[in-house]
Amino acid sequence: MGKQIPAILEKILGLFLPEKDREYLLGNYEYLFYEKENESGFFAACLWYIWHILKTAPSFIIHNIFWGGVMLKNYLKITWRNFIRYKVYTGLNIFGLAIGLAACILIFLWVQDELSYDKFHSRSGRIFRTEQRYSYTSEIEQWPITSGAFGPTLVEEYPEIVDFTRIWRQGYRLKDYRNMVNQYDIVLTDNSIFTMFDFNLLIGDESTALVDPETVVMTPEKAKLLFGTTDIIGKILPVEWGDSYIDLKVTGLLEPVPHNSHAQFDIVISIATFKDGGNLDHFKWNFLYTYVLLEDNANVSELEPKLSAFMFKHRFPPEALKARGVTEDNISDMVQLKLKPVTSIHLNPCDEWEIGPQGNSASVFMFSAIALLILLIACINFINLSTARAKKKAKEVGMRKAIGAYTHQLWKQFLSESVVITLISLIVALLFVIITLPSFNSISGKLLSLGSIFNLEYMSIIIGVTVLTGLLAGLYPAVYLSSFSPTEIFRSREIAGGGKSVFRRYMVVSQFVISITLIVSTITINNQMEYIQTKSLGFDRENVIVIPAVNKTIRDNYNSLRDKLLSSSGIKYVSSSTRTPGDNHYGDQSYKLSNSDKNINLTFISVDFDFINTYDIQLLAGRSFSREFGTDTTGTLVINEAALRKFEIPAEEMIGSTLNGMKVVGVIKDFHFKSLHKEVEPLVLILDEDSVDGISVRLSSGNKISILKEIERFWDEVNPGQDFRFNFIDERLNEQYAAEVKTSTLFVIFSSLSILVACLGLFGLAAFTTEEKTKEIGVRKVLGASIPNIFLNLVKQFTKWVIVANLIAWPLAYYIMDKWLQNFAYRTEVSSWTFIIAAIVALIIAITTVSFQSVKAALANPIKSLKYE
Amino acid sequence: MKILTRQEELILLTVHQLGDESHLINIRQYLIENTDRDWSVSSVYVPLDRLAQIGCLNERIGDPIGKRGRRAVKYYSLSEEGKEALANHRELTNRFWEGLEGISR
Repeated sequence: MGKQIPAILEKILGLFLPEKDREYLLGNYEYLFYEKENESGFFAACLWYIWHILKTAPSFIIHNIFWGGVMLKNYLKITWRNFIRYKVYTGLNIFGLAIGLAACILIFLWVQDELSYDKFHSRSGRIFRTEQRYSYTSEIEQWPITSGAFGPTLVEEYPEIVDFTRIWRQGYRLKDYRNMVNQYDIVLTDNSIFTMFDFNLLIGDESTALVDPETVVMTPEKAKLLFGTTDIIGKILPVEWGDSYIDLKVTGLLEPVPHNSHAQFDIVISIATFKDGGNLDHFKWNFLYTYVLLEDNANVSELEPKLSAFMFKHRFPPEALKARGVTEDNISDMVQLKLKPVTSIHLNPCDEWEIGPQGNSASVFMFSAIALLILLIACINFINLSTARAKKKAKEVGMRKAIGAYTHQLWKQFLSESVVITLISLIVALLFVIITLPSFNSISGKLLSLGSIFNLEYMSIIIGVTVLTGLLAGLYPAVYLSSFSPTEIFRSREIAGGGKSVFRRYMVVSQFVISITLIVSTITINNQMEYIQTKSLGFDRENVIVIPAVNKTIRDNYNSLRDKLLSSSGIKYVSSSTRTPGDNHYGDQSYKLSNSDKNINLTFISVDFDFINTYDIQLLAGRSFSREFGTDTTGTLVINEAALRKFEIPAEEMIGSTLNGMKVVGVIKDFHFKSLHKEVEPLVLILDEDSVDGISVRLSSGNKISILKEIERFWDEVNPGQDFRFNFIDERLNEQYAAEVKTSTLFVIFSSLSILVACLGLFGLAAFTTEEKTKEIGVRKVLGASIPNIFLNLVKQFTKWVIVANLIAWPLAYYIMDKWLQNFAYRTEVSSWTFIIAAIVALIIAITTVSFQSVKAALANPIKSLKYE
Repeated sequence: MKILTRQEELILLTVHQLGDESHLINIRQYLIENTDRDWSVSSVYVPLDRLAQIGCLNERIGDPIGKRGRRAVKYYSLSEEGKEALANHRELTNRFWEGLEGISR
């Protein structure tokens, strides 16, 4: 005989052979190897051996899968038995995980929807919206609106820009098939809206529908409203234009705009219709949105800097900038034309003049974080409940090990158990989602459908995440439980190591840290919402209605309407103005004050005599407009505090000075004429009785319904045939915060859910702790402890954890909320009582949860627990 | 009654002949030497394993042989059932042979 078998070959072959037969099979191979070696030498024998290794591999794999399946069946059986045996804990586990998963799925759908905006356009990567950005004053301003000449000129001057679409939002009055005239929200655009974007016509030619002037397309819904039918091609739609009507020709039926388009519209008129008015071919006023289509391989970051030159050339000569006192060299940075990808408009909208209500990237981030936190809490529950059951499981583990289970087999068992639990939870979670989706939709204002969950992509993501959650949650229990040594388990009653309870304590503490942080955040967010909605705006927002003066008849009849209204006892003041609080204010202009060298950007509102009284705006100095001063009608102004601050001169000096030839007679305190997101800007009120765009009426605090009826009666007398429309100013202001209110409602719901999940975990844990202490409690009772005594003893340890959690959570919550509040120009503080409330709430929740178990344990008869000792 | 195949019969008889030394390698060696034919490993192992499974053979894992670190191999021995099967087989064969006793090589 020659050399021995290389050990490595034997090792490899050994891997493939079934364990129970390994030894003697290797023995057989050894004999055969030596035989081969004798016959044809060592090298050939080695080759022969390797050949046999290769031949064994396939059967090894098949064998493994088969026995893997057999064992899995066994694991599932044991899992099922455990479920049946520990119904409450399995129930808690599944319920907690299901709530967590359901919340995650809802948030996932919501986030997916938010992220899907405008992605449906096939050229979405090449479509950009032009935005003017000015940073020559201390404030940086970025406007989404441009003037009509931007689009055509850009296409002409820059080869990278291929096409453009302008969208102009307007309210117009249309006459429907019953000769009723109503105001509609209308969009005027170029025909390229169909070729550049993926908006479609159901009927009609997309290449020509909106090319000609006086053409219109609309959705079937609006067609039914305006014509009573969807068969509308070629019909005539009269629109009020000035004092007469223009007949629009219907050229198409618009496919409803997808809900995840940042721009929403249902009636579209060709923008060429109003070209004759001379409104479009200039760079002066900004009122419409310009979208451009770039070349296929255009580089935006290279193109954008070049557009400053465009701005200087057409919109804003450098001399104009110098005239405003800007002397720096880098003026090209101060006037820019930005290109915002159409897909990012929804989540990164401009502060002002947006095309419609948009989303908020911060809330997308916030909700994603909450989803993760809820899932984390549910995982911690799972880990805690599993390790708490260790004592019961230990016997099973010991027995399995004694029979010959390998550690990795036990891992597999525990992991498959946790994956099964999460999968069951997923089914329950999907049921929850199906049940709650309609109410979730109504709260969030989304149109999520069940169909959007049950598609292959989302489903595989959801199942993937679920299985991953199961594996993560099962990992620690698996490692921990399978580490028991069988001799230890059977020899002593106690399982080695207090380490496990320390770990569990960390887990519970971290759960409470999350919960308390969420409670503090919820309270703070609610406070801020409350603050915004009730903050003194500098004027009295209650009992004021605004009637829009939408046409000339109403404007002309204003004086007689006012006289009639004032004769009623239910009406205190009536005034007219160009803007009313809550409007967007266009046309900021820079003005120089006579006795100051400063140029200030000022917003102008034309008002009549009673505007300041109607809104109950406080006067700081000087006087209000008054009919007693006959000279007031010849050009007088009242400015606000913010303007006064900008001019940097005292109020006394301000009164009597002139601004653009008009005399300043008073200074009013700041009032919020825009949203609270922005600080109050410098404002000038000009006395001008002829500009009537909105009629504000202050009602006395009596019965509003009867007063409104009275107003309507006067209205019908003065303006026969005109619709009486109005809104309460406080309602209108609250609409500005509709998005925030929605977000905060959702936040409250989801954080309550996460707290609920944390409670479930605590409940289960408390049950186990008290169960383990049954004997201890029995002995204590026998020795004379009172029931409150025992109760306190049990509650004490949980209370300790909650207090520790509070101490960790407070700074964390403060930091996060302080960051969030920075988003608001006017904000509340994160007040200290918020923390105290959170602490008390957490304590109450913990104690209630725990005391249920504790009372049960304390009341139990000691004889029962000690009988079997 | 189990009817043995020719292979199985020979293997059972070989196990009997080899006594304490009957493991796979030896059985195969013996068969090759006495039948003058090449028996592949699997043509021995497969019937051997089957016979052990139906109870005609007892199995025993031997001790590792000290020299050169040889591993243990599996030893086989005839069980009662195996003997009975052989006896049955012989009787059957004899019945079929009746009247041809005089024949010889």
